[in-house]
Amino acid sequence: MNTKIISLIGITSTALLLTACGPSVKRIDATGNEGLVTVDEVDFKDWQIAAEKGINSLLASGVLNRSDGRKSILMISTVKNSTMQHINTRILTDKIRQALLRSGKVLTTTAVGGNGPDDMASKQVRRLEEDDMFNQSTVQKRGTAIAPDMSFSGEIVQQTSSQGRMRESYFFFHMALTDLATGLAVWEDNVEIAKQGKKPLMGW
Amino acid sequence: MGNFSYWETSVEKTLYKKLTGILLLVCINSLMAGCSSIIDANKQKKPYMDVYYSGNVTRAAKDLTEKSEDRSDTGDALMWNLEAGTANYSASEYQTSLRKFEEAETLLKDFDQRAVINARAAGSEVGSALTNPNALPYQGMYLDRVMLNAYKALNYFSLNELVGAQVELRRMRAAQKQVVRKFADEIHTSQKEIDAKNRKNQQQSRSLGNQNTTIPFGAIVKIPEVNKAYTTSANKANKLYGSLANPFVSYFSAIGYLMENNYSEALVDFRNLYKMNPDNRLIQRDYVTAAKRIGSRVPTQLAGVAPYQYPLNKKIVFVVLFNGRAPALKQEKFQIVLPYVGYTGIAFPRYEYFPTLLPGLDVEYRYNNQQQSVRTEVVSDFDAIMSQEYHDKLPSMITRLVVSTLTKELESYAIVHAARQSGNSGAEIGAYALTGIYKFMFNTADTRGWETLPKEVQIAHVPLPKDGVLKISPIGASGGGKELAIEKDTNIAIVYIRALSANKLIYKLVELQ
Repeated sequence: MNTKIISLIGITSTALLLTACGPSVKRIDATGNEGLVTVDEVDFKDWQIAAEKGINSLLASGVLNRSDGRKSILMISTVKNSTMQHINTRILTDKIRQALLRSGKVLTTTAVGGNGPDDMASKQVRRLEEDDMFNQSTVQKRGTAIAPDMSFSGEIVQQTSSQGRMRESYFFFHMALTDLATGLAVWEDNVEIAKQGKKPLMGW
Repeated sequence: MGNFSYWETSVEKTLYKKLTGILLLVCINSLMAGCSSIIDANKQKKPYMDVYYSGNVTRAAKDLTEKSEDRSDTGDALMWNLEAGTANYSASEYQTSLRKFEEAETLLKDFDQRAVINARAAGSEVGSALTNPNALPYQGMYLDRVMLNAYKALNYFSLNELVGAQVELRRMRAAQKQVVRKFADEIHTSQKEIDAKNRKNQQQSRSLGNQNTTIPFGAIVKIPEVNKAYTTSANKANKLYGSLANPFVSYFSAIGYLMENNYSEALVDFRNLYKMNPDNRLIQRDYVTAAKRIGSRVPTQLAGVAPYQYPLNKKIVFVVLFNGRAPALKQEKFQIVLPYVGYTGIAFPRYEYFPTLLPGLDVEYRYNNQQQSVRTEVVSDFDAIMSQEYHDKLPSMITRLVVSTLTKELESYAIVHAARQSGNSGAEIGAYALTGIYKFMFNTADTRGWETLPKEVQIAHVPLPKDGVLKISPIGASGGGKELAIEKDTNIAIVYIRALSANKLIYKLVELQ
């Protein structure tokens, strides 16, 4: 009898486990802490941490304040990927650009960028001067676009190590703001993110 | 056998169960025919390799891609993905090549991140114990791990995606560091397994006559076939490379650093290369050039070596020749006298080496208004690297094979012994036949490996000529050769040449601004 009960429990548990094996998908709060944490990759939370710390440090530094009442024009240069991952550093630069724009201290340009203009339109519309389809008085004139005063750049470096079952990744986000008139770095900061993972002793 | 009343006693019932088990195993594995447990990988790949090395890379890429997709859920998936990745790179199918290498890399990552004791490995081990090492998933040789990322980098360069290529170069460097540690772990695990199997065999032996069942490698290596494999690999291996390092990886890494104008890191690579290849003129001059550029000390032995008169990080062309065919594992058998069973044939993998196709390449160009010429030099000998790994692994690999064979033989011996004791001649004949078929079917060597790799890598570099024209021809070739025109705004160019046969050369030109 006991054997039968044990067998029944075993079969039921297996069935339940198999039922739970189907794909489980859900939406999570992108601002919360529910996201996956990996050792080797830059996860979305890592981008958020790096961007937030960078923005706060930059705004607190006061380098964006001008005495002439004009807002600085900022261009996004390049953020070099020196990691072992194929990542899109735009996630970082877009977050920083948008936060700075929201702060009201700077204006950002999309007409020029480290990897070429973010928006080709500023250049394209000026070519309409040669197109008689357009009312020429409405075509943007040459010499009206505003050149940037400052440039934001950076680099992300990754270092990995492992010992026994432990693996570790250290991501070093370096960010800098350059005054384009002088070529001097007027602000620099780093954000460090270190992650560890342990290989399980037993598993599938 | 279908008449159950035929098997009356408990001894007969046990025997019946064992024979049914063997029959089931034979049937299941027969259904899976074509996998490397029965037909060794080298034989399976032969038609594909014949097509690839005949120079029909388009067809080889297509066939290998299809094959790799067919075998995607098997223990051979990694091997087929690596072959398909290389063939697609040669056929200039860069996106497919990258996809295949990504799949291979995902498999390797999965192997590395599995729990120390995991159900999948345990299952494979059981399969391997019942059949042969081919039942274990192929996890790649150490060279595979670094060359995978090297090929991915080459793909990204060909697609002109410099950032992606640099990511792969970083992964390649990390893989190079990792292989040393993994190698030590593997040898240690293998020894533990041999010890456990020896204990099991001795336990089984107690009920059969208590003969000593431990066979040390010292005894096995005296067998002529094993001895030949052991000494040949020792002669081919280059001890100077050490720690399974691949000099091509170091050179490629240096090129990557030079692209980033990072002379100091490139110098570290040149320094390591010099340790591995102290007599190589190209490496000596590269080392001296990089050291002088950043004011670093030049070793006294290289005091008389002149640096290159042009920078290594701009307006330069690197010519990289992937020459010939890497050694391939081939099945061979040796005879050994095992306790209780006497002479037994055991299949094992042994490297087959291929001839050097080209002695090198002559690169002609115009510089400072003068016609100049330079010759490629061997930077990396893949025969040596692969032989080193094989040689280091051979003692544990061969001892493990012998011990596993003995385990299987003792099981068979016990079944036949039980059949004989039952006094039923039909059962005895059946036991002989089934255990014989079983042993014959699964006596297959693990010949899995990456066969589309080159035999060696040769490298030369020249300053980018003003007219952008390079003429490349095999040393000693009368006439012919290939003329390449490099865009004048190129900063660094890589000319990749794959020699698949003496007269079938594939050229690829990467021009980086």
